[in-house]
Amino acid sequence: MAAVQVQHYLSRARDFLEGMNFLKDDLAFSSALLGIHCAISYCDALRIGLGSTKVSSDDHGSAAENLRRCLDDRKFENLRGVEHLRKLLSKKSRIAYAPDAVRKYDFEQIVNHTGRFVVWAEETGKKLRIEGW
Amino acid sequence: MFSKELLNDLAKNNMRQDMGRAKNAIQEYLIRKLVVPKVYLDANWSGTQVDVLAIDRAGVGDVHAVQIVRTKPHLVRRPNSDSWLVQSDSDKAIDRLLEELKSTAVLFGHYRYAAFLEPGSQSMEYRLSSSLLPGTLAEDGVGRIGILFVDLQEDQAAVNPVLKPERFRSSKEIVELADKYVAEHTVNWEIRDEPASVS
Repeated sequence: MAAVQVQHYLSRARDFLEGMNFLKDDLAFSSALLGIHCAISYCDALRIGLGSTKVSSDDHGSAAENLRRCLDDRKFENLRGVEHLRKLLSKKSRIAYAPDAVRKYDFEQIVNHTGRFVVWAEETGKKLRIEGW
Repeated sequence: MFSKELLNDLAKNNMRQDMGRAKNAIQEYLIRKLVVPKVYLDANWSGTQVDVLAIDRAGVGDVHAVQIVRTKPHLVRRPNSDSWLVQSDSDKAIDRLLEELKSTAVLFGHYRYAAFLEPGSQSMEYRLSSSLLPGTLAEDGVGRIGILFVDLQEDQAAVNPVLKPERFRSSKEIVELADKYVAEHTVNWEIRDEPASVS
Protein backbone atom coordinates (compact mmCIF):
# COMPACT_ATOMS: atom_id res chain seq x y z
CA MET A 1 0.00 0.00 0.00
CA ALA A 2 2.85 2.37 0.85
CA ALA A 3 4.29 1.82 -2.64
CA VAL A 4 1.08 3.08 -4.21
CA GLN A 5 1.19 6.21 -2.06
CA VAL A 6 4.86 6.74 -2.85
CA GLN A 7 4.06 6.63 -6.56
CA HIS A 8 1.16 9.00 -6.06
CA TYR A 9 3.36 11.60 -4.33
CA LEU A 10 6.17 11.09 -6.85
CA SER A 11 3.83 11.60 -9.75
CA ARG A 12 2.57 14.83 -8.19
CA ALA A 13 6.12 16.00 -7.44
CA ARG A 14 7.30 15.45 -11.02
CA ASP A 15 4.20 17.17 -12.33
CA PHE A 16 4.95 20.24 -10.16
CA LEU A 17 8.57 20.17 -11.31
CA GLU A 18 7.58 20.19 -14.97
CA GLY A 19 5.26 23.10 -14.21
CA MET A 20 8.04 25.01 -12.48
CA ASN A 21 10.38 24.52 -15.41
CA PHE A 22 7.71 25.44 -17.91
CA LEU A 23 6.85 28.71 -16.18
CA LYS A 24 10.18 29.83 -14.77
CA ASP A 25 11.03 32.30 -17.54
CA ASP A 26 7.68 34.09 -17.53
CA LEU A 27 5.69 33.60 -14.32
CA ALA A 28 8.06 33.81 -11.38
CA PHE A 29 5.58 33.53 -8.47
CA SER A 30 3.73 30.58 -9.96
CA SER A 31 6.95 28.85 -10.88
CA ALA A 32 8.42 29.37 -7.41
CA LEU A 33 5.33 28.01 -5.65
CA LEU A 34 5.30 24.97 -7.91
CA GLY A 35 8.95 24.40 -7.03
CA ILE A 36 8.21 24.51 -3.31
CA HIS A 37 5.23 22.17 -3.68
CA CYS A 38 7.35 19.86 -5.80
CA ALA A 39 9.80 19.59 -2.90
CA ILE A 40 6.97 18.99 -0.40
CA SER A 41 5.60 16.16 -2.54
CA TYR A 42 9.05 14.58 -2.90
CA CYS A 43 9.43 14.86 0.86
CA ASP A 44 6.06 13.16 1.35
CA ALA A 45 7.07 10.35 -1.01
CA LEU A 46 10.28 9.80 0.94
CA ARG A 47 8.58 9.94 4.33
CA ILE A 48 5.84 7.50 3.35
CA GLY A 49 8.44 5.22 1.81
CA LEU A 50 10.46 5.36 5.00
CA GLY A 51 7.55 4.42 7.21
CA SER A 52 5.75 7.63 8.15
CA THR A 53 2.01 7.23 8.21
CA LYS A 54 0.96 10.87 8.17
CA VAL A 55 2.27 13.57 5.85
CA SER A 56 1.38 16.90 4.25
CA SER A 57 -0.12 18.53 7.30
CA ASP A 58 -0.58 22.27 7.16
CA ASP A 59 2.57 22.55 9.23
CA HIS A 60 5.03 22.10 6.43
CA GLY A 61 7.74 23.46 8.71
CA SER A 62 7.88 20.16 10.56
CA ALA A 63 8.21 18.16 7.33
CA ALA A 64 11.95 18.72 7.05
CA GLU A 65 12.54 17.68 10.66
CA ASN A 66 10.38 14.61 10.24
CA LEU A 67 12.26 13.67 7.07
CA ARG A 68 15.58 14.08 8.86
CA ARG A 69 14.40 11.76 11.66
CA CYS A 70 13.29 9.14 9.11
CA LEU A 71 16.71 9.28 7.46
CA ASP A 72 18.47 9.11 10.83
CA ASP A 73 16.50 5.97 11.66
CA ARG A 74 17.89 4.40 8.49
CA LYS A 75 21.39 5.70 9.35
CA PHE A 76 21.44 7.59 6.05
CA GLU A 77 24.26 10.09 6.23
CA ASN A 78 23.71 12.41 3.25
CA LEU A 79 21.26 14.97 4.66
CA ARG A 80 21.99 17.82 2.26
CA GLY A 81 18.55 17.55 0.73
CA VAL A 82 16.99 18.31 4.11
CA GLU A 83 18.80 21.64 4.14
CA HIS A 84 17.52 22.49 0.67
CA LEU A 85 14.02 21.58 1.80
CA ARG A 86 14.30 23.80 4.88
CA LYS A 87 15.35 26.72 2.70
CA LEU A 88 12.43 26.16 0.37
CA LEU A 89 9.84 25.81 3.13
CA SER A 90 11.10 28.99 4.79
CA LYS A 91 10.22 30.93 1.63
CA LYS A 92 6.75 29.51 1.04
CA SER A 93 4.70 32.08 2.96
CA ARG A 94 6.71 34.99 1.59
CA ILE A 95 6.16 33.86 -2.00
CA ALA A 96 2.47 33.14 -1.48
CA TYR A 97 1.28 35.91 0.85
CA ALA A 98 3.83 38.61 1.75
CA PRO A 99 2.92 42.19 0.76
CA ASP A 100 6.47 43.21 -0.15
CA ALA A 101 8.29 42.70 -3.42
CA VAL A 102 10.33 39.58 -4.03
CA ARG A 103 13.70 39.92 -5.72
CA LYS A 104 14.61 38.09 -8.89
CA TYR A 105 17.48 36.56 -6.94
CA ASP A 106 15.02 34.92 -4.51
CA PHE A 107 13.13 33.28 -7.35
CA GLU A 108 16.38 32.01 -8.83
CA GLN A 109 17.35 30.59 -5.45
CA ILE A 110 14.06 28.71 -5.19
CA VAL A 111 14.54 27.19 -8.63
CA ASN A 112 18.12 26.23 -7.73
CA HIS A 113 17.21 24.70 -4.36
CA THR A 114 14.33 22.82 -5.94
CA GLY A 115 16.58 21.33 -8.61
CA ARG A 116 19.19 20.30 -6.06
CA PHE A 117 16.59 18.89 -3.71
CA VAL A 118 15.06 16.84 -6.56
CA VAL A 119 18.46 15.41 -7.52
CA TRP A 120 19.09 14.46 -3.90
CA ALA A 121 15.58 13.00 -3.45
CA GLU A 122 15.77 10.89 -6.62
CA GLU A 123 19.18 9.51 -5.64
CA THR A 124 18.07 8.92 -2.05
CA GLY A 125 14.87 7.11 -3.05
CA LYS A 126 16.90 4.82 -5.29
CA LYS A 127 19.71 4.23 -2.77
CA LEU A 128 17.29 3.37 0.02
CA ARG A 129 15.40 1.08 -2.36
CA ILE A 130 12.11 2.67 -1.40
CA GLU A 131 9.25 0.55 -2.65
CA GLY A 132 7.35 2.32 -5.43
CA TRP A 133 10.24 4.62 -6.30
CA MET B 1 38.07 33.24 -56.06
CA PHE B 2 38.01 30.74 -53.21
CA SER B 3 39.68 27.42 -53.67
CA LYS B 4 37.58 24.27 -53.75
CA GLU B 5 39.38 23.04 -50.61
CA LEU B 6 38.55 26.22 -48.72
CA LEU B 7 34.88 26.01 -49.71
CA ASN B 8 34.83 22.36 -48.66
CA ASP B 9 36.40 23.25 -45.31
CA LEU B 10 33.84 26.02 -44.79
CA ALA B 11 30.97 23.67 -45.60
CA LYS B 12 32.35 21.04 -43.22
CA ASN B 13 32.77 23.62 -40.50
CA ASN B 14 29.19 24.88 -41.01
CA MET B 15 27.91 21.33 -40.79
CA ARG B 16 29.91 20.71 -37.61
CA GLN B 17 28.53 23.90 -36.09
CA ASP B 18 24.99 23.00 -37.12
CA MET B 19 25.40 19.60 -35.49
CA GLY B 20 26.71 21.24 -32.32
CA ARG B 21 23.79 23.65 -32.15
CA ALA B 22 21.38 20.81 -32.77
CA LYS B 23 22.89 18.79 -29.91
CA ASN B 24 22.52 21.78 -27.60
CA ALA B 25 18.90 22.31 -28.66
CA ILE B 26 18.10 18.64 -28.08
CA GLN B 27 19.79 18.81 -24.70
CA GLU B 28 17.62 21.79 -23.73
CA TYR B 29 14.53 19.93 -24.92
CA LEU B 30 15.35 16.86 -22.82
CA ILE B 31 16.16 18.96 -19.77
CA ARG B 32 12.64 20.41 -20.01
CA LYS B 33 10.94 17.07 -20.66
CA LEU B 34 12.78 14.94 -18.10
CA VAL B 35 13.26 15.13 -14.33
CA VAL B 36 16.73 16.55 -13.55
CA PRO B 37 18.49 14.33 -16.11
CA LYS B 38 22.21 13.84 -16.59
CA VAL B 39 23.00 14.65 -20.22
CA TYR B 40 26.00 13.46 -22.26
CA LEU B 41 26.98 14.59 -25.76
CA ASP B 42 28.72 12.28 -28.28
CA ALA B 43 28.40 9.42 -25.85
CA ASN B 44 30.08 6.11 -26.54
CA TRP B 45 27.15 4.07 -25.31
CA SER B 46 27.05 0.32 -25.55
CA GLY B 47 29.43 0.39 -28.52
CA THR B 48 27.39 2.99 -30.40
CA GLN B 49 28.15 6.69 -30.81
CA VAL B 50 25.06 8.48 -29.50
CA ASP B 51 24.72 12.19 -30.30
CA VAL B 52 22.74 13.06 -27.16
CA LEU B 53 22.28 10.65 -24.26
CA ALA B 54 20.15 11.60 -21.26
CA ILE B 55 19.65 9.49 -18.17
CA ASP B 56 16.53 10.59 -16.37
CA ARG B 57 16.07 11.34 -12.64
CA ALA B 58 19.61 12.40 -11.79
CA GLY B 59 21.09 9.41 -13.58
CA VAL B 60 19.01 6.71 -11.87
CA GLY B 61 16.09 6.59 -14.33
CA ASP B 62 15.37 5.69 -17.95
CA VAL B 63 17.90 6.11 -20.75
CA HIS B 64 17.01 8.44 -23.65
CA ALA B 65 19.18 8.17 -26.78
CA VAL B 66 18.99 10.63 -29.68
CA GLN B 67 20.66 10.20 -33.08
CA ILE B 68 20.82 13.22 -35.35
CA VAL B 69 20.17 12.40 -38.98
CA ARG B 70 22.45 14.05 -41.51
CA THR B 71 19.99 13.81 -44.40
CA LYS B 72 16.91 16.00 -44.78
CA PRO B 73 13.49 14.43 -44.29
CA HIS B 74 11.35 13.95 -47.39
CA LEU B 75 8.29 16.18 -46.92
CA VAL B 76 5.07 16.37 -48.89
CA ARG B 77 2.44 19.02 -48.24
CA ARG B 78 -0.88 17.48 -47.21
CA PRO B 79 -3.75 18.34 -49.56
CA ASN B 80 -5.97 21.24 -48.43
CA SER B 81 -3.89 21.69 -45.30
CA ASP B 82 -1.00 23.69 -43.86
CA SER B 83 0.66 20.59 -42.49
CA TRP B 84 3.30 18.34 -44.02
CA LEU B 85 3.70 14.60 -44.26
CA VAL B 86 7.06 13.01 -43.53
CA GLN B 87 7.44 10.31 -46.14
CA SER B 88 9.88 7.73 -47.31
CA ASP B 89 12.02 8.92 -50.22
CA SER B 90 13.34 6.92 -53.14
CA ASP B 91 16.53 6.06 -51.23
CA LYS B 92 14.50 4.73 -48.29
CA ALA B 93 16.96 6.56 -46.02
CA ILE B 94 14.48 7.11 -43.22
CA ASP B 95 13.29 3.49 -43.38
CA ARG B 96 16.87 2.28 -43.04
CA LEU B 97 17.51 4.60 -40.14
CA LEU B 98 14.42 3.50 -38.25
CA GLU B 99 15.37 -0.13 -38.82
CA GLU B 100 18.86 0.58 -37.50
CA LEU B 101 17.58 2.30 -34.38
CA LYS B 102 15.27 -0.61 -33.65
CA SER B 103 17.69 -3.36 -34.42
CA THR B 104 20.59 -1.93 -32.45
CA ALA B 105 21.33 -3.99 -29.38
CA VAL B 106 18.60 -3.98 -26.80
CA LEU B 107 20.87 -1.87 -24.62
CA PHE B 108 20.42 1.15 -26.86
CA GLY B 109 17.90 2.97 -24.70
CA HIS B 110 14.49 2.90 -23.10
CA TYR B 111 13.54 5.84 -25.32
CA ARG B 112 15.05 6.28 -28.77
CA TYR B 113 14.76 9.25 -31.09
CA ALA B 114 15.76 10.23 -34.61
CA ALA B 115 16.30 13.98 -34.96
CA PHE B 116 16.26 15.73 -38.34
CA LEU B 117 17.63 19.19 -39.09
CA GLU B 118 14.68 20.92 -40.71
CA PRO B 119 14.80 24.70 -41.21
CA GLY B 120 11.64 26.61 -40.38
CA SER B 121 10.00 23.66 -38.64
CA GLN B 122 9.12 25.56 -35.47
CA SER B 123 5.98 27.08 -36.89
CA MET B 124 4.86 24.16 -39.03
CA GLU B 125 2.84 21.06 -38.31
CA TYR B 126 4.12 17.65 -39.38
CA ARG B 127 2.79 14.11 -39.39
CA LEU B 128 4.52 10.88 -40.13
CA SER B 129 3.00 9.13 -43.15
CA SER B 130 1.01 6.02 -42.33
CA SER B 131 3.43 3.93 -44.38
CA LEU B 132 6.32 4.97 -42.12
CA LEU B 133 4.52 4.57 -38.78
CA PRO B 134 4.87 0.77 -38.52
CA GLY B 135 8.61 1.20 -39.07
CA THR B 136 8.90 3.24 -35.90
CA LEU B 137 7.52 0.42 -33.73
CA ALA B 138 9.45 -2.36 -32.05
CA GLU B 139 8.64 -5.78 -33.51
CA ASP B 140 6.64 -6.75 -30.44
CA GLY B 141 5.11 -3.29 -30.16
CA VAL B 142 6.87 -2.46 -26.91
CA GLY B 143 8.66 0.70 -27.91
CA ARG B 144 8.31 3.37 -30.59
CA ILE B 145 11.02 5.61 -31.96
CA GLY B 146 10.35 9.30 -31.44
CA ILE B 147 10.87 11.76 -34.30
CA LEU B 148 12.20 15.25 -33.62
CA PHE B 149 12.77 18.15 -36.00
CA VAL B 150 15.44 20.65 -35.03
CA ASP B 151 15.06 24.17 -36.40
CA LEU B 152 18.34 26.06 -36.51
CA GLN B 153 17.04 28.91 -38.66
CA GLU B 154 15.51 31.08 -35.99
CA ASP B 155 17.50 33.17 -33.54
CA GLN B 156 17.13 30.43 -30.96
CA ALA B 157 17.46 26.81 -32.08
CA ALA B 158 14.39 24.81 -31.15
CA VAL B 159 13.10 21.25 -31.18
CA ASN B 160 9.71 20.34 -32.60
CA PRO B 161 8.51 16.85 -31.60
CA VAL B 162 6.82 15.19 -34.59
CA LEU B 163 6.23 11.73 -33.12
CA LYS B 164 6.16 10.98 -29.40
CA PRO B 165 8.41 8.09 -28.38
CA GLU B 166 7.14 5.06 -26.48
CA ARG B 167 9.24 3.13 -24.01
CA PHE B 168 11.25 0.11 -25.18
CA ARG B 169 11.76 -2.89 -22.92
CA SER B 170 14.21 -2.56 -20.05
CA SER B 171 16.66 -5.16 -18.82
CA LYS B 172 19.08 -5.79 -15.99
CA GLU B 173 21.92 -5.08 -18.43
CA ILE B 174 20.69 -1.65 -19.44
CA VAL B 175 20.22 -0.60 -15.81
CA GLU B 176 23.72 -1.81 -14.90
CA LEU B 177 25.19 -0.14 -17.97
CA ALA B 178 23.52 3.17 -17.04
CA ASP B 179 24.87 2.99 -13.47
CA LYS B 180 28.36 2.23 -14.77
CA TYR B 181 28.18 4.97 -17.40
CA VAL B 182 27.13 7.58 -14.83
CA ALA B 183 29.93 6.53 -12.49
CA GLU B 184 32.66 6.63 -15.15
CA HIS B 185 31.83 9.55 -17.46
CA THR B 186 31.89 13.30 -17.14
CA VAL B 187 28.44 14.72 -17.62
CA ASN B 188 27.78 17.61 -20.02
CA TRP B 189 24.74 18.90 -18.09
CA GLU B 190 23.39 18.19 -14.63
CA ILE B 191 22.15 20.05 -11.59
CA ARG B 192 25.13 20.27 -9.28
CA ASP B 193 25.05 20.82 -5.56
CA GLU B 194 27.24 23.39 -3.89
CA PRO B 195 30.56 21.93 -2.78
CA ALA B 196 30.38 22.73 0.94
CA SER B 197 27.47 24.48 2.60
CA VAL B 198 24.00 25.27 1.37
CA SER B 199 23.42 29.00 1.00
